[in-house]
Amino acid sequence: MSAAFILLASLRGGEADAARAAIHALGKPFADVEGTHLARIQVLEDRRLLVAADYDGDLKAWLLRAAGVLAPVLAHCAFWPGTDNPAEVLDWACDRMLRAGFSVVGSPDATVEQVIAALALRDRLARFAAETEGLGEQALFEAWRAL
Amino acid sequence: MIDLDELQGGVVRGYGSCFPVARHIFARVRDPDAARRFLSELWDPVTTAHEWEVGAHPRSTLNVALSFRGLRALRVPEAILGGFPDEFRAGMAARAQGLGDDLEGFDDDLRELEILFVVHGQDADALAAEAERWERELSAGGLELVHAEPAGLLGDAREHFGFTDGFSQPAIEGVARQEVPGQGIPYKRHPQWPMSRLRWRPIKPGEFVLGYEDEDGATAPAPPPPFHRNATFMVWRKLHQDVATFRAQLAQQATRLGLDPELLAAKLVGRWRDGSPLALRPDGPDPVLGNDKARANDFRYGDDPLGLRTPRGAHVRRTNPRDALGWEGRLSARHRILRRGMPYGRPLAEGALDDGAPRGLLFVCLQASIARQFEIVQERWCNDGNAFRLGAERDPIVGAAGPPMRHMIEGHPPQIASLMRSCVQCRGGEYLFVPSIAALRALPAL
Repeated sequence: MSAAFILLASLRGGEADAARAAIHALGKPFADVEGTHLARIQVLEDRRLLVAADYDGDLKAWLLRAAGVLAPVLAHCAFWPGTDNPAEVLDWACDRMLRAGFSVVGSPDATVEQVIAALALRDRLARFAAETEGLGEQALFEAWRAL
Repeated sequence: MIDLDELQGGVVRGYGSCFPVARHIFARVRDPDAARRFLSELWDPVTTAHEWEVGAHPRSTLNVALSFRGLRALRVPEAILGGFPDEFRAGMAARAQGLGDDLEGFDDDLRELEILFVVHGQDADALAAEAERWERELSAGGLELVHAEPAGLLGDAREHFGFTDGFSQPAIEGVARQEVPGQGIPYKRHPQWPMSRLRWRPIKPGEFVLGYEDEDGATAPAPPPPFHRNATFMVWRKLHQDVATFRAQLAQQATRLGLDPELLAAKLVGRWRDGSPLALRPDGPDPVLGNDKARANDFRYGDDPLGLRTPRGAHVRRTNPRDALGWEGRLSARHRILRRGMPYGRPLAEGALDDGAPRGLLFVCLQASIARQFEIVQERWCNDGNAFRLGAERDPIVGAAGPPMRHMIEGHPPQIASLMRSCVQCRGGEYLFVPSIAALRALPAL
């Protein structure tokens, strides 16, 4: 099951540009956060940082994984406790989380792992179909068994 | 229009009875860099003057104010510090003589104050959660907790002497939604016509918020940026009230003068205990009127120059003389204050002897100039009677301690109450500055 996560944190005075630079420096941060379907990170009006994501499974575990990767950006947020103490990170995030008003999730019943597995299966099937075109009944049966 | 997103909350509008409990937390700077960073991080948690939708009040509010000592401890550059007004730089203790304060009577914890956090709560739980959270955060923020003072509204909006309080608050242009009788400045649209209706216009915002036009058509002198706009000055005083002595003096003087004690009480204050003003109800209290905040404030003193209804030295007439000084009230318009205080301590039961318990008022007032507004009211109007042709007579409620006080009750013949002891003593306080949100954010870069 996937769910929506939204965090709105205030930035420290005068650190909006530094936060933007830190976001660009991250590259593709969520590629390394296991269980992330989709994510956005954005500086709003020079004053706040928005992090929005669809994630799998346990929020705390996902949040700690994300906080580790996003730490260089979160360090520009007011009262950010650093990543040394997970309990403080969770408290900090919980104080700043917003309830999603309306959320559309692309694959509500599948985890990222299942979605990736399904895509891989589709590729294999497509490849199989292309490679076995025109084979006789026996050859096709053997190719299927070998798949 | 005032930028309500930049001004702290509780200034142009009070938090009112929605937030009946509060805690005033004083802290001292231990690590200037950490403290500036901590205070700047408060820009978002701090409650602004932004108006809430109906029913969308937060459970608690947070506001912050800094004394000159606090700004200096934060190592704000001298070039900026030098631009603050003299009385603020001197601090309240240095002004004790004029204010009539006895510094010996100050609580040890309430001297040399630096930073004030005020937390209001919708209830005790909400207050405790928010106040304790910030008290915990202080040490990590380079600050040290010095003193926490709880406060709470008493029943029926009364203060400890038993009077309904909080009637007269200045109506501010751009904030007041409608004409509020008695809250602004009296005027007549057609002064040459005797029948022209008396109206009230709101006071210019610059009288209370720095950076805006004031009643003089200018902006009040302000410190340099980032402290120059959407900020205000606060006077914070812990005023102890000796309720048993007040009651005893009242009973004793009423007997001596042959007056009903309630009438004498009203003659001292200018309002009956239920809030109905002597100016409108000279003969007896009127609870219906007392409950009608608009009507209970719709009066002037210009039609009672001798003080036959409201004595010239009565507390509410001294502290807000309206048009009592002549000139249609123009002389008093520049000496108005926004009162945002709250009682502290438990009420003393009727008829009880003094129990020695702390009780009184955490007096908080806000203005653009402490010298022109609060100090004129306290020093010239409460600690002296000259402005009202009363010689050296002091305010019977908040006048300075000193030799026995007389209080003239004008009439035919006049009577003079003699009050042996002042029943209100200042136990500490400070002059503070309430910075804008932008100024908080700018603190680390100063």
